[in-house]
Amino acid sequence: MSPHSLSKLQLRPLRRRLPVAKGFTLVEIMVSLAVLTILLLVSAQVIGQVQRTWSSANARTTQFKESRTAFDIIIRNLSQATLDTFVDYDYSYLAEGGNNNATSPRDYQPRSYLHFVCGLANSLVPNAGPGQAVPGHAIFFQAPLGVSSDPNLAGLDRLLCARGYFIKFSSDEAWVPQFVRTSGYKPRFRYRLMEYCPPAEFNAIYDETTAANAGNRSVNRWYSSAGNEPRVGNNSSLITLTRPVADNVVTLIISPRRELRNGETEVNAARDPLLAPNYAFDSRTNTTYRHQLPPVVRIVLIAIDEASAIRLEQLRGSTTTPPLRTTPTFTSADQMAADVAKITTDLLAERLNYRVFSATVPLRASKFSELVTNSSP
Amino acid sequence: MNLVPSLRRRGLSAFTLVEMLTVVGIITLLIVLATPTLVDVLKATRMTSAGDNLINRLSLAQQEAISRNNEVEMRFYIWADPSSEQPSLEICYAYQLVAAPVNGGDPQAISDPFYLDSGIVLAPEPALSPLLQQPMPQPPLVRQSGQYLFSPRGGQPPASVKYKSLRFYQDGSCRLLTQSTGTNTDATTTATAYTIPQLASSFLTITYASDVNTGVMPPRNYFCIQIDAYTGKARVYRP
Repeated sequence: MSPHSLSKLQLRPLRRRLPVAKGFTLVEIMVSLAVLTILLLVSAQVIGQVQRTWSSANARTTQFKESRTAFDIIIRNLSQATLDTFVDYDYSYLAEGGNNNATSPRDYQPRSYLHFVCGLANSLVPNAGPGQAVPGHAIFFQAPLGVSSDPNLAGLDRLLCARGYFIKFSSDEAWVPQFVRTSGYKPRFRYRLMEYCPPAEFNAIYDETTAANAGNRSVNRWYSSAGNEPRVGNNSSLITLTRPVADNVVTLIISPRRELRNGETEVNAARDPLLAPNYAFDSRTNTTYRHQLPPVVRIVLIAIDEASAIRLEQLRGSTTTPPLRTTPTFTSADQMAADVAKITTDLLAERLNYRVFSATVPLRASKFSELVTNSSP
Repeated sequence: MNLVPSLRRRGLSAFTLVEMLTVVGIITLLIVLATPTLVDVLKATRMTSAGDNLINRLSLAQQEAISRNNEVEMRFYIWADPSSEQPSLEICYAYQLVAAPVNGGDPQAISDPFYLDSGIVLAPEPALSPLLQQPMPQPPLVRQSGQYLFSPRGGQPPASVKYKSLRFYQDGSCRLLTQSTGTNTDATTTATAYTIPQLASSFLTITYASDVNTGVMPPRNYFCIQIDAYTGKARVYRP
């Protein structure tokens, strides 16, 4: 064999191998790419869905955890409300314009230096903002909670404290840590459950000026400062008397009630008959139940979750105006169930997650008697 | 021969040195590009878990106080650790749950001390952790029958450790230790030493140890926990 033919022989296997080493064709690559894309799209969709579900479930549980805590706090404090009612002579004959024919007291009356008041938040805390910003009801009462920030009062765990609850649509600027507010921070406006919680040494129940003794001064209730705007800042010497308990609580309804009388059945009276048909109850001015604590108080609280609050902001296109405009005014207590249903259908219609908390709180300190009050004029 | 062609064929089908170098180079480049991001992600994850742990243990302290019907303290231990990124600064590296002494007795540890991951500390700056600013230094430690309640990891003498304390009460509220209390102080002195912090300055912040005292405000990454003293509930702020 010549060297020439030998090289040809050796090359042949090489050439035969070449088609084997050839890469994928364009069609093959495109098909595989298409398959890959479809797979990626499907998995991305699934992952996105899982992510959304997870975060919304997470938001719901954490949010409603906060609301439930707040609800528990209201119940715990409200059930300790006290009026410390005592029975005393009816001194009204001494008052100007009273029964001047009488020369001596003719009657006994329940009296109290303390105060229990609930009603529309709009009228009880007028300085908290316009009506839209303070939806629902407010309640203010005195309870022996023993909370004080004065170290000298430590250990006195039955000190009388003022407490109050209402909803306010407000920014969180006043309590967000200062360094967080230095860059890229936008104040979050939310419906918040506010607690009026002055420590015992700031309880103004005994130094208020009421309409009767106001003179030239303006009437100053012990809960007047509850609606004040909290001061922005980090200054620890300023005592803020009202503080947020839970975000995204949109409605608070408070309805004082009594238990069923002897002989009354649930058929002719509601489960817990109303003491205040228009929700407003003031232990000082109430004519029928003056200086009496309602035996039970029905509380309804409606909360949404943070994701829903953000959705509401986007729906309304404004972060600073109260987003819920359809809120009923809650002025007639026998319409309560219907009003609550209306709110929840409105929330449902906007696809917002909500939860309704409700409870009937017995006030242990209430020594409710209708005989005494019925006999007095 | 039969051996030679098979060897040659295998030799032909292998990667060349240039191909290998290229691949290794690309891989190295990718690793170099990805590492800083990965490290950041890792650090951020560690901060998140440190913060979540602290929150869980704050609520544990609250529940312990309620279920034991006794006051429970969260103690934040502060010492200078020469092996850390801030060798000379006294910083909080660990915390522990302690049942408050009943009638002047010894405080009892409820849990082992919880250490923050290395590189993560509770910021000592007043602007970041007002809850850890107290007017006077604490006495070094409270002894429990001659033994230290806490001795730091890494061989620092337990006597050099200070602590700040957050006390949870049976009603779920919490207060902050603002005065020095000795070992055998009576109940009244102890009670007056704890005051309610204002909500706007009732927070502490977890940061990277390397970010401490750089003056950058807010820090690059932080986990700020605000505690509502009346309810004992925590709220979180993150960048």
